[in-house]
Amino acid sequence: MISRFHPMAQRGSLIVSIAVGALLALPPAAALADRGGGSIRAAGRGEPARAEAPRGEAGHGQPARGEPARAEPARNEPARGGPERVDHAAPREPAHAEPVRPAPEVRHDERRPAPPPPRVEVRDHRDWDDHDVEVAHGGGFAHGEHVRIIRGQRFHDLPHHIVVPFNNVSYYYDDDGNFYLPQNGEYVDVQPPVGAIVPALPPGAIAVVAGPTTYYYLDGVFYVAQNNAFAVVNPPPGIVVPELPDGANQVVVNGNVLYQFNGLNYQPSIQDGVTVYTVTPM
Amino acid sequence: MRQTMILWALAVALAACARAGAEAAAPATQPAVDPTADRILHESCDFLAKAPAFAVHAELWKDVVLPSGHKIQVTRSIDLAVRRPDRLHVDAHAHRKGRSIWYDGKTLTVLDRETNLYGTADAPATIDQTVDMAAQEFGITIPLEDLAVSDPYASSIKHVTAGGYFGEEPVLGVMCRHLAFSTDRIDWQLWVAEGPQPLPQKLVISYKGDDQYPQYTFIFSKWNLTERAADLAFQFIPPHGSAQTPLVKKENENAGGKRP
Repeated sequence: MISRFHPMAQRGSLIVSIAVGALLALPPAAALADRGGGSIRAAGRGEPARAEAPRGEAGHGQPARGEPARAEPARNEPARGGPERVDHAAPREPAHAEPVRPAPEVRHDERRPAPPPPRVEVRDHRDWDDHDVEVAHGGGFAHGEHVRIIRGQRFHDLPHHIVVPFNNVSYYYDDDGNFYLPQNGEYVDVQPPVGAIVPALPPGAIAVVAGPTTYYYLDGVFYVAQNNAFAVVNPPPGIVVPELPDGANQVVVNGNVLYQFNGLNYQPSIQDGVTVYTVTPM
Repeated sequence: MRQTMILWALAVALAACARAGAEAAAPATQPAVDPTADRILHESCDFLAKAPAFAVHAELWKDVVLPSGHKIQVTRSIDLAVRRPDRLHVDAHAHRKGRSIWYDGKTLTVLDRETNLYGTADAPATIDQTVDMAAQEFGITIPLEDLAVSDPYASSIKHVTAGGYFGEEPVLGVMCRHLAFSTDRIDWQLWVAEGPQPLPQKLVISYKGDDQYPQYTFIFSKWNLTERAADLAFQFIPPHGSAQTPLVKKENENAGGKRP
C-alpha cells in the first residue's frame, strides 16, 4: 500500500481535491432551458430583437459577420479508447481487500488499464430526450453496453471492484457504482449503505443541487463530496431527480401515481417538458 | 448681443440632444444579411405561413456530448401537424423516449411516452400564443415550432446578425438553395427547395456556445399541404394505462432543490 505521505499519494490527493473542487463549482441549474430538440425561436428567447437591417451589406455567398458557415470545428482529436466489455469473469475471490476509509485508495487490476475517472454530467440546457443515451453505470465508451443491475440480483463473480468497509461489513464496490455482499458463495447487489465512503462517483452520476449542497445522484443513491471522496447520504426531502431507480414500484395513492424505492417516494411531475421526480420519505 | 448668445446656446444644446437621441435610437449592431438569402428565406416562410394546414416529417440527427467528452450523434424523428391558427400536434421519438404534444385551441397536453404520464394546461387561442406560453410558463419548447408559428420569417430573422447565400445544392435529390444565418447563440443553415413549393428540406442548428459545437440536423420530408387534418387529430385521448401528473410552472423551479 502506498503511504499517504508518499509523493504519489500526495499527487493523487491533489488531483482528487481539484476534481472535487471542480464538481463543487457547478453552474447554477437555473440556466437550464429546453431546446425542444432544436429551435431557432427558442435560442432567441430572452435576447433583445435585432433592429431591422439595412440588408444586403454582405457579399454574395459570404455573410458580412458571424461566419455562419464555418466548415470545420476546431477540434479534431480522435475519440480515446475503444469500447471495452465489462469483465464479468474476474477472479472469484476479492482481489483487493484493504480498508479504504476515509480516503479510499483504488488499486486496479494489473491485467487491464485503470478506468478513466468518471465525469459528472453537468448541463446548461435540457431536452425532452435527455438521458436517452445510456451512459449510467459506465455504458458507452470504455465500458461497452450498459448492463442494468437490479437490487438483489445475484452473481457468481464480481467485476473489477474495491472493498469498502462500513460498520464492520466489507462491501464490494465495482467500477459502475454497485455495492455487493457475499452470500452463500455468491454476490448479491445491495443498496449502498448510508454513511459508506467511496473514492469516486459512479459513471453517469448527475449533479443535483438542493439549497447550498450539491448532491450526486444515480439509480436511487445520493452522494455528497466529503474529504476527497464521496459519502452515501439520505436525500433531503423535496429534492428533484431526473430518473427513477431501476426496480422502483409504481403505486397509486389517492388517485395519484407515484413510485417507491428503498423507503422513498418518487412523485412524478412534468417540468420543462421533461418528467422528473420529487423525492420524499415514505 | 445677449439674446443672440442665448439663442446660440439653445441651438447648440438642442443639437446635442438631437444627436444623443439619434445615437440612442440606433441599434448597437446592424445585421448584415445577403439580399438573396433574405429574399429566399422570406419566400419560403411566406409560402409556409399562407398554408392553412400542413404536416411534415423530420428526421433529426442530434449531436450529444457525453459526460466523458466524446461527441456522438443520435437520431430522432418528429412528426408535426398544424392547422392554423389553433391546432397543433407533435410526435417526437427517440430510441427509448418519446414525447407528444397536443394543442386543440383550448388545452395543451404533453405526454411522456416512456413513462406514460401526461400533463395538461389551459392554453390561449392561437398557436403563436401557445408556443410562447409553453416556453415562458412551463419551460417547454415545442419541437419544430419554427415552422408552426404564423410568421416564420419574423420569428427566425429576429435575432439574426448576419446571413448569406451559398448557392444551389441538392438535398436527397431535391435541388435547394443553401442559406446560412448567425445569431449570438446559434448558427443556422436552411436548404430551401427550388420550384413552386419553396419548402425547407434541411435545417442545421449549431450551438456555438456549447462545448464541442453540437449540431442539430433536420431532414424534412413528407410535406403535406393539401390535406387538412380533422379535429380528432389534435385532441388528446389518454392512452391505455396512462396517468395524469402535474405540469409544473417554471415559478416552482427552485422548490425543493434545483433540477439537474
